[in-house]
Amino acid sequence: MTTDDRGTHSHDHDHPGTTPDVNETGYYELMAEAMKELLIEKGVVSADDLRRNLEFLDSRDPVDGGKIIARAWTDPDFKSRLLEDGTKAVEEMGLTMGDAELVVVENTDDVHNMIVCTLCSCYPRTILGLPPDWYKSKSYRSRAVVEPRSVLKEFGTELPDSKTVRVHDSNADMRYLVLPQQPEGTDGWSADRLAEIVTRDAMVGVVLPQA
Amino acid sequence: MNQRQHDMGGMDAGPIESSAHDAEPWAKMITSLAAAMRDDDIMRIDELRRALEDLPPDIYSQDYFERWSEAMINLLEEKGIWTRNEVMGRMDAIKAKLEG
Repeated sequence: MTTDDRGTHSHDHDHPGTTPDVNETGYYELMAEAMKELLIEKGVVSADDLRRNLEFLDSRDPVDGGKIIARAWTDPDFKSRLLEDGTKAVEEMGLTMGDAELVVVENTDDVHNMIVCTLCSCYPRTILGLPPDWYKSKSYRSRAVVEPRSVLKEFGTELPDSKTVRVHDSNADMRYLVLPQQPEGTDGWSADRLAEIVTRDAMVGVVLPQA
Repeated sequence: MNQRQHDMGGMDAGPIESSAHDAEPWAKMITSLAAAMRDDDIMRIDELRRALEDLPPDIYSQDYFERWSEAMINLLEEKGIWTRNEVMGRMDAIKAKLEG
């Protein structure tokens, strides 16, 4: 990719008194800064709305997802509510799904679930934060639905042939979260301690949580 | 059936690169601008998705947030909020200032 082959550079504005928030001149860094400045100047986005959204994004962490799973493992009533209506159940924990619905899929002795978004990269980002790069990659999006066991192997996850692998294809309005099985050897652990072993990748369904 | 570029299920692709790195600040900026505009109903998620799917293949195959940026410029140009030239011009101005 070159940086001078897209679009014309016909304008040369001067904006005294503003100090750009970028310290490098990469093409897309500049583009993001230019978009931010213009949207604020035009009154399309307020600086305050932008700050709130940045703060919210920075406050998202897969740890919140781990807390949901750990509570489901230790509180059967919550687990029922979570499987019944994920969006509503996570609200109890102060988490929001934004405009999308959350569908929680449960791993059992017979079924393993994994999630993908073949069409774009939909992901429960209001709970887990931004998706990892591999989730957005062509490799994962293309292959997860046709050869999930090979994909799982690349993450070091080998499942017995007797286990059904179910792949859930997310969309803009519906996001999935995998409820893994509680690993052996963790009976009697507190929800806090359990939450620590639930990784992001376990909630996407590409690995199993380890005690 | 003709499979469009975004409809990736089943396409040939290589191994998964699972190394992780955090989103860069500019990527978070793009995400947050998009979220703020969604909150105010200026740009809906499905509109952005359509703009992404309509990108030329060489742009669509770029990094995720790079294509988001390109799609947002196009979509907001359609909506009369700015022109691509305006964004490009501002990029040049910022660059000139940084290189001062």
